[in-house]
Amino acid sequence: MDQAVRGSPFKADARILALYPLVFAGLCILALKSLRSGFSPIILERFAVTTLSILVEALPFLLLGSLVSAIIHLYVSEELIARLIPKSRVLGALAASFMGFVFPLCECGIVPVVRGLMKKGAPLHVGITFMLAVPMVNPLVLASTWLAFVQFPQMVLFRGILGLAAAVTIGLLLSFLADRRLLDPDVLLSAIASHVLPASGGRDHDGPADGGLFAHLKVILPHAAEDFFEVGRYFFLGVILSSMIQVLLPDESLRSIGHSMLLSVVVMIGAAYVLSVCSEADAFIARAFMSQFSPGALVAFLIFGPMMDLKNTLMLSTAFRGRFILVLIGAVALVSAIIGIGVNLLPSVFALTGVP
Amino acid sequence: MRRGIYIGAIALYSAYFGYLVLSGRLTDLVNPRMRPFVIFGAVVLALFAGAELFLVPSRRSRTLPSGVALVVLPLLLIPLTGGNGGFLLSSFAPQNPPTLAADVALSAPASMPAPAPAPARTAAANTSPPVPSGSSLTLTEKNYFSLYTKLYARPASFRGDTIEITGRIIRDGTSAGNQLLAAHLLMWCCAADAVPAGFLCSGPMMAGTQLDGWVRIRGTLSTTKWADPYSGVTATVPLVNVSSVHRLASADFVYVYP
Repeated sequence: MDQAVRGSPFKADARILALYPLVFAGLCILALKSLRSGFSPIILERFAVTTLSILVEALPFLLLGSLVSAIIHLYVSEELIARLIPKSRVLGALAASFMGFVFPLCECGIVPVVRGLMKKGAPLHVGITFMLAVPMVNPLVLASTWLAFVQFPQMVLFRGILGLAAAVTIGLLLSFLADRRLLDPDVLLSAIASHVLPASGGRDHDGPADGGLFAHLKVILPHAAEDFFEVGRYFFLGVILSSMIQVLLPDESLRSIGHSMLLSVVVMIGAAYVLSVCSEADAFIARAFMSQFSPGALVAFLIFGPMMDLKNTLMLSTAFRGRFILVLIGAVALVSAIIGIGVNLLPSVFALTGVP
Repeated sequence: MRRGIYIGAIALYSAYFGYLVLSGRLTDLVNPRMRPFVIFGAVVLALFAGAELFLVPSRRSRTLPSGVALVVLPLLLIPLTGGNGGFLLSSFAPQNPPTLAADVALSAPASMPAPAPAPARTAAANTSPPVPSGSSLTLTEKNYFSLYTKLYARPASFRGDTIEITGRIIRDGTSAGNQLLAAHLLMWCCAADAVPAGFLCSGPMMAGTQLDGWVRIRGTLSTTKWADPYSGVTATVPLVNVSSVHRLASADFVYVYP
């Protein structure tokens, strides 16, 4: 991942360290709950099984995403992508969104590419649509969504079609409201000057021109491993927190929240933002919430999460002004909520909860 | 130091994934169809550990950002799995015979019964050969989901059939009179998303609070109306009129897979 977009090491540390107390508090509550029930190990075991089962299931997809992201980063030039984008506003947004179907990048890997696109002259609405659509509808994400919801193929369609519509809508909406002045040139320039060149070491698009498989692996693996760590720690945090929520919150309260048409959507959008789970794995986490939350809430979670989350916001702050990021978050939340509530109005079409 | 811990952690994840596959314990955590992905994960994690060790420049050891503890934490949870809190906490466990975390999931208030969702029922009913009426059904680990979907898809067509099931007794606020639910956990993807999938059982011997744990039940199928306490939706579901109940020392199988 591009060091410039990742932010300074200090910021990265402060960000992740700020969430440590949350994990510690959750562990303390789990231990207290176990003590209150006569030191029953079952609560801790349930937390362990929940955490490990989500990890074992989702981690391979994160690894695959890291590998593919590294290959794209090393072997596909941003100029080629920019050449393929039409100049028309609507066609540009549509083309950018459809590129999601062929670019296997998650929301973490997409930010550097978007910055590169805009540096090379791509319009803002194209960059925004591309950034919002690719993590949601790329082949890996759709495949993992299908695997997680194998009995409910309509979930893949909802995510692909409604997610795409949401990305195009937001991209076009912002193209009328915003312009390139919302890019922070000072931050961009200082980031380029202080981080990009030394941190990347000229690795952008510098895959070996020839050589055997080992020569290519020697370039790809370190990059993929670095990507994996950068994204993975947020993924691990998301899995740990979501497991805690599942174990600590009584089923009754979850269900009473989860089946509220409006509140369930709002809660799951909030969860998607805070948990910051990679779009290649978030379907499995949504699947884990399936018995507790309404179908619309799950769809909102799957549409909002890839477009916007806590770690993405922090990465975006290295390229955009704060006011624009707030507008972007608001627009993504609003569109996701409308879609979620809309899905909840169609219970007979989208029977996810197992109710006959 | 931090970098060394991180490399060790991802190497341990690789070994853990390999252990799960080779020992057969994978199905306690995820659906068996995930096996190829877990093998892939084990290989790539080993490659990443090697890459971090041999290919990543050592200067990065000073700039590896925080978050290693988050990667390590789930590894510390491995000894807690395996029933009664795993080997780490088993000496504190009051239960005998061993209790699994899955039992807690099964005993938690559930939407009872938890029939397969409509699309799965329809697919199963359309693609599988029909079960002849008047037959005797025995639900095993292999045929549980298939028969379960058929029974919930067309409960009326199985009236009068004899049935033998195993399951864990589930009690919740919706249990009425002499009716209880005997269920296994239906694992769609992983243990975190497992939900009870069972059958309402009715009869004098199901009354009272003594019956608990895992049981083998024989009976005759009929139908009944059941209202979901959360959605209020009423449906016709299969009902087992119990002729005999036997307690089981432990579960013959806990999870069933679509």
